[in-house]
Amino acid sequence: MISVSKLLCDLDAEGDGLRYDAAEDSRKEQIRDRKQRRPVVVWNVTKQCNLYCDHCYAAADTEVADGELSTAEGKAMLDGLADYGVPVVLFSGGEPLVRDDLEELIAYADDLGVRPVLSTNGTLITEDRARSLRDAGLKYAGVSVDGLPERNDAFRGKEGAFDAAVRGIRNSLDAGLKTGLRYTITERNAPDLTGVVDLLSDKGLDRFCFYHLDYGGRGTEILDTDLTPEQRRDAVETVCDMTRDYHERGEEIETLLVGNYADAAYIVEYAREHYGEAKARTVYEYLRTNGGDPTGERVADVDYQGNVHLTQFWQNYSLGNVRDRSFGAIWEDESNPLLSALRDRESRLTGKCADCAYKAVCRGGSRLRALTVEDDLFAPDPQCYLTDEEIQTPPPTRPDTGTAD
Amino acid sequence: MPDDPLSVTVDEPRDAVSREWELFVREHESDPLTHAGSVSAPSADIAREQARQLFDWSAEALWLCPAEAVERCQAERASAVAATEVDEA
Repeated sequence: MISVSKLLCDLDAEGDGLRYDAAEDSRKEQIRDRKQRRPVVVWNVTKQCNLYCDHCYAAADTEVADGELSTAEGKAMLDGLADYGVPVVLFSGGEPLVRDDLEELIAYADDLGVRPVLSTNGTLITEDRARSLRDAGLKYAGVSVDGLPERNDAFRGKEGAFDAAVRGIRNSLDAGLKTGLRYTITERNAPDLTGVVDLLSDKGLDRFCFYHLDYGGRGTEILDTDLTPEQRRDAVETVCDMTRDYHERGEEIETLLVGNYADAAYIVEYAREHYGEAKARTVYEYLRTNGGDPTGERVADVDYQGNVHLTQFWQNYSLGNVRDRSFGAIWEDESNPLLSALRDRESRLTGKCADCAYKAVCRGGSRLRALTVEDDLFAPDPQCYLTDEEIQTPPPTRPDTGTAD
Repeated sequence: MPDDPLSVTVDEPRDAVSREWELFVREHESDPLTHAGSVSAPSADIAREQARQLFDWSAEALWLCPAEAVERCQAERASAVAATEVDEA
């Protein structure tokens, strides 16, 4: 995740310790030390969902699927995550709120010191459920909305889904839960982006995460709706401009870009253009610390049957299963040539990535998209929208230490 | 030493996306064939194609086997399953 609001507007937020190391100057509680080096784990607690979204990476269905980890198995897996030092578990699905033991699992994670957060479509967050999630120790609820009502409902396969999600957001905020938006940008909903932020910020929401489409699950069926490079650049510029506008008006919204690390290079160039070389240098150093695409390193996924994946979007390949051995043992096993190669990918990248000036802050972007489109694990990410000039421009670096600064 | 040190069988389904195929890779002719995870695919041909995409840059040989045909025996339950037994006790 790339925090536009932090990088451009210096917003202090709780997640910065994970993204930019210790965030030493932060006044917010931060995740530090050993836990920074462990992955955030997405746990798809169920495949069942009450909606049927076009872009669902988990290919969720309306029925319960066989083999879900039970409550006790889930708790034992959480024990394993805690032992391994995992900092955050993201309860996801399907729709996690269809599980009636969700609060029990959240409370268990919280007691173990694994920060529990939630990814939901929001439509099942009633006033009572919001309070019970809060009481269980939930730290954050990210609610998916993918456009203004007409486009969102078409995307999500259910009329009224937008209104239901907004009610859920309202209930979550009223319960005192930190709440944010998750918005996957495609050609179909890009025009709604600022309208959705304006509408939801009026309702009290102040955190907005914008996802690029990844090519997993049903996402592979809508590649024709993905943004062109020009549209993607425009969308990212819109997020940057909008963030600055809000902050200049005194409304300190948090905005993040997720899933395409070409954005890292773009934001450095954006900072250089709008703020100057010194700011661009600071932004670059933050992003270099962030380390680029996290697949197989700083993010992991455990599906509802306990299969461990390289990222939540990469569901058709599994490293192993937590019913056979612990998550930590699976994640540490670099005898798997794919896992070890992903952790050493910079030396293997080909094409324009091989000599890209921004390789250290991007690391080739999504390997899943490269594999899906180019049939090549180390080819450039097809969503890269950087120009030849940009990838050849030396990034800003620290001044020589031998000179006064 | 117990009579049967590999007495625990793990037989829960693993077909979260589609049929699951265990994947074995050999990097050099003199290396052993090693387990390298699994792919989800509705047929052997598609499983082979997915495995090739993932490992053809490193593998000298790829073997695939339907996950449901694999008997998974081990000395101890992994923690996830062990907890189920405690709960059910």
